[in-house]
Amino acid sequence: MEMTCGQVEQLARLARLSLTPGEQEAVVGQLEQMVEYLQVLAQVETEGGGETGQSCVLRPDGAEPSLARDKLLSQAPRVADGYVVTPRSVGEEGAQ
Amino acid sequence: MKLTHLTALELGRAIAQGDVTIPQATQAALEEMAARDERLNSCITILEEQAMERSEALQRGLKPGLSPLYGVPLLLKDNLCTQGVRTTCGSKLLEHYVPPYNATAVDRVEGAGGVCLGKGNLDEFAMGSTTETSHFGPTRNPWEESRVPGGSSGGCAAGVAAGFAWYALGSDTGGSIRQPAGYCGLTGIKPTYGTVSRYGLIAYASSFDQVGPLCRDAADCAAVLDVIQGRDLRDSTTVDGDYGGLLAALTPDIRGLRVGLPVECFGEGLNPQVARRVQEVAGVLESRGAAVTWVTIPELEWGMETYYVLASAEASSNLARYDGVKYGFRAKEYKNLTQMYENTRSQGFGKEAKVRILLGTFVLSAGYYEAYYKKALAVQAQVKEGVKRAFGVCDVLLTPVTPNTAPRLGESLTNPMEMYLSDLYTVPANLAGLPALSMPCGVDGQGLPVGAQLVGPRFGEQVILNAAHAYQQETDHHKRVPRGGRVG
Repeated sequence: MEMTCGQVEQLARLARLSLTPGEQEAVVGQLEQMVEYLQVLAQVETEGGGETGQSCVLRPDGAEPSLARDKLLSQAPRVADGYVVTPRSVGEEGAQ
Repeated sequence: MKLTHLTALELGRAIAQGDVTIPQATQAALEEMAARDERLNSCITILEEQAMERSEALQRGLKPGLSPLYGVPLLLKDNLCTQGVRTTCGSKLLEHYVPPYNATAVDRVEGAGGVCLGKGNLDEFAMGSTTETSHFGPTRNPWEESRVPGGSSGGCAAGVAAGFAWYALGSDTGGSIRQPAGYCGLTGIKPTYGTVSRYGLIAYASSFDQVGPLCRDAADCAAVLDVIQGRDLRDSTTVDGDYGGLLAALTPDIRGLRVGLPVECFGEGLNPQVARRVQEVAGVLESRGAAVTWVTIPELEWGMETYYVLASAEASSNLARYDGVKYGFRAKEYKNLTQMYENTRSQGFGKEAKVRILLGTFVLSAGYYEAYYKKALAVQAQVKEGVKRAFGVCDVLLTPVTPNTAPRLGESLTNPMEMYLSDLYTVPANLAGLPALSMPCGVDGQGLPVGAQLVGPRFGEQVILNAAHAYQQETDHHKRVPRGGRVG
């Protein structure tokens, strides 16, 4: 299957990655090769085959001590008054 | 014999008997590391002071009846969270990340008296089969420094093979314990999915990831599994079971064991020297009373494709968390939130991680989800069925670990598809959640280790450990020590 630069750009947008022009060329090539390789799956007969759902086991919902807030915040790139700081998320400026 | 050449259990016994002190053992390993790790680059972080302090405290607490691994120094793959010790996952994104908690497996080895000497190098986010995609530079194979140690637990494998520690905890998503164990002449085991907690293991593909040991022999693997296996309420995929007696029940008596050789694992692409070594293993097992037969599992043919769809899909979802908000690297320049995410991720991830994230995004995206992701899940069910059918006529499967011995550094970077194929024989055990062990079975014409893989049914750790133990009673490949080699 052929992968176009436009397609890869769209995937990158979905994955919140931006690729430099140099990177894009290498990545397009490798992705194309991998997707080509995956085509064999289309040949496999899977009609009516196999339950694919996975069960989710939940633990009892009880109150337990959590990790120390200051220790967790110490790992954040930017903090103010006990909060993590990011650019505004609603009505962000310069958004595409 | 050199202290650093003992097995973990031999060292544990020497410590318990007072023949060696824990600080002496720790010091001996740190000296080996100081002499050689600048070249091998097996560790991202070396915990010299911390390890010496802990070894002295443990020595003071020495008394009868402790774990057989009490006081034995080890390495931890750097995707296992260690409280207060940076955990990088081989990535620029987590270069300065210091976890506020320990992984459960780390707590367990520490509870058994383990001394952590360092954090083992790995492919970035465990994505790779050579340890060359690490942000901290490649690790070299102690058998021949121009070769890769395998991956992604390559730092741990190189470190244990070089005598920097007596065992290591790695993780295995598609072969990341067994393949480097094979390339470095070690015995390693990926346990049954759900028997070792993944809490605190930085996620790559959660439905395949499993923590396990890299050791010098099968008995050591049994001892480490006894420590780390068990239900954990913080990982809901762990299962209740009868854990903890693998070492006590270890026996070299394998009379009547049915060993199956899947024809699909001995076909095209397999190096004839590797094939010969693995078939010799079958001969040894037979001489100890096992019955060897050929089996056919045609579904294995689709293993690699299925694995790459599912693992990449899960990776793209798991790695979405690296956004520069709560921890890890954040790009310096951005104009808004979206740009902050994009710049952080684009500057933080290496090329291999980006490719797998994009592939995962592709197979999960509208229009392709059914044809790739859903299809791969259905094929995975068939692979599971095929393997289950084989276990109707045999007790263990014997295969090579990899089609070839360790490639030269750089070779896989220019031909990534070749690198992916090195996981051909190891991914089925991950797809089916089965226990699988890798053990050394001799060398090729260039003196590089060849690995044989034993795969068991679900919860069949004991049967594959017994088979490996029986083999290691008859042979001494596991006792060979890397003689070093030139830098290419």
